[in-house]
Amino acid sequence: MTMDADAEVLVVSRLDSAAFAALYDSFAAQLYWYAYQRVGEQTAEDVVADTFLAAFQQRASYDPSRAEVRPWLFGILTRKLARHYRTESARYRALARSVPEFVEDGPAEQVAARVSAGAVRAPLAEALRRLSVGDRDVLLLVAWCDFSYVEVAEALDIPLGTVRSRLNRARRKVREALGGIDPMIDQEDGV
Amino acid sequence: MSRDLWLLREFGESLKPPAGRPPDDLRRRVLAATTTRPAVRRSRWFQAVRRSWLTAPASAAAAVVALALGVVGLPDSVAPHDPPPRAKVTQVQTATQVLRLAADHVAVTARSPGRPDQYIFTESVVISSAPNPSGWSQTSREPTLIREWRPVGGSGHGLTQERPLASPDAPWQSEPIPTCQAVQDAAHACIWVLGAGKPSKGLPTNASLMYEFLYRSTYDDISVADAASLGADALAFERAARALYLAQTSPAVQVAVFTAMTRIPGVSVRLGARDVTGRRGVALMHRGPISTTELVFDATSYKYLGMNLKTSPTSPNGQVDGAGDSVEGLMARQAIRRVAIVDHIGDLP
Repeated sequence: MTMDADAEVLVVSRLDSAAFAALYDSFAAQLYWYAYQRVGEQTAEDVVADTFLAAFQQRASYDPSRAEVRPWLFGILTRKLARHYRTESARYRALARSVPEFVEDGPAEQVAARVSAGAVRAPLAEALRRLSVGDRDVLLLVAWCDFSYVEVAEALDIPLGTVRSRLNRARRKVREALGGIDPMIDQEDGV
Repeated sequence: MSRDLWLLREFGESLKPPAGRPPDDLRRRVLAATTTRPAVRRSRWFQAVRRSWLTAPASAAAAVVALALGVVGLPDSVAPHDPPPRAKVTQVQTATQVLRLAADHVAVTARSPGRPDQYIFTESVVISSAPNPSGWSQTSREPTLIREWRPVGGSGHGLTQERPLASPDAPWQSEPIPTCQAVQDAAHACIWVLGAGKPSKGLPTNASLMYEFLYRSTYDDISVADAASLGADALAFERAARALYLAQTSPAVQVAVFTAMTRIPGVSVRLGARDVTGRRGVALMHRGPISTTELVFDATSYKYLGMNLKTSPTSPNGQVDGAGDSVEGLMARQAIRRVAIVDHIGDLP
């Protein structure tokens, strides 16, 4: 069995709870950013705290042969986020209504890209709000956390085929929402 | 990247927290809830420490430290009773600085070496790779919890117990540690040898003698062929790690090791090292032709934490990554968790 350094630390933390601090330092920022993106500042703090407490309680059952530590932690986080479905929906609704602020500094291409992304902010937020929880979990782990399909499957404990089908469905809905606004969206673009 | 995913990513970037890092309160909140130990266990631990101080004259430990510091003349050492140094990690730049701070830590935290009829209890966590015909495999075994009881006086036998760390219900595998008298090596009768578990006694407390000990040409701990391929300096560095493991209750021996190590060439400092239990610190590193050895110290107190042993990238047994480049592979990692003086084999602090 091959274990990376984080898995070793997690296994060691079963005996030595102080080792858990090292795990926190390795992953807290990633988890917090993702939670913050989805549910905002106040809820993110609670969700991440709950995630680490749950991870601490479940560390004895962590199986390094089934998943690396990062997907395992994001899996816990995702389950915690599901309890804040209404908060997340309200956040997307508010984002869909807000007017983005552009900072038009930098090379012309970057500015153009930011303006382009800003222009589709409202339909993107609305599209995310309308996605089912399961589809959204898969899409955002891929888009915001750079998860591979295998990592998504490990995190959400679903088959690889389910990851693909959920991602296809979610991307199709997002493209439909953007199709009339961003002419660069290719309706035929596959996954 | 497809346009829709790119737009989603840009959207996600705009939603990230402005501070870029989690609030400090969150860390305190999480760690306060996860690193608190049961009150009963803490109480027993403190009792054990206090008992170890009370069972021997308090001046004894300080005396051996003062003797060692006086004999070896470690550069810029502080007096034994000065407060421990609190240097920041970034301030340490040379191996000699780290060794001096480690010696200072030993001096100010010296404790009773125990009575001859007592035992040195050492608990450590070890992860090692399994050697295969083509060299060292990168496949690591399960972390193992190892407990040793070695007689302070060296006149009786000791005991080693080990079990998988992740399996608290697994039975302990026990193996006796032979007495000093049973060991035939006349020159260094009680040297601890990896795998043989001989008890510690007679390790030099003088820096010059320790240097000779580390560079000894009697290969009681390694085959002649392995010693030749390893190189004298790399072997001396590894032997220093073993001596430090054994000498956790002997400040004089530890100071002698630290001082002798200042004469080993090719030792560098690596910040941000971690031991196998995840403790972060500063490492002294020696890269030999076959292996790279790291001795990890706490970045604040400079307490010795443990060692990491890896195959060197240039080693014929080294690992090769997907691009065909040589990378370092795990051979063994050891973290010392607890050391105490106890009255009987099987006693826990």
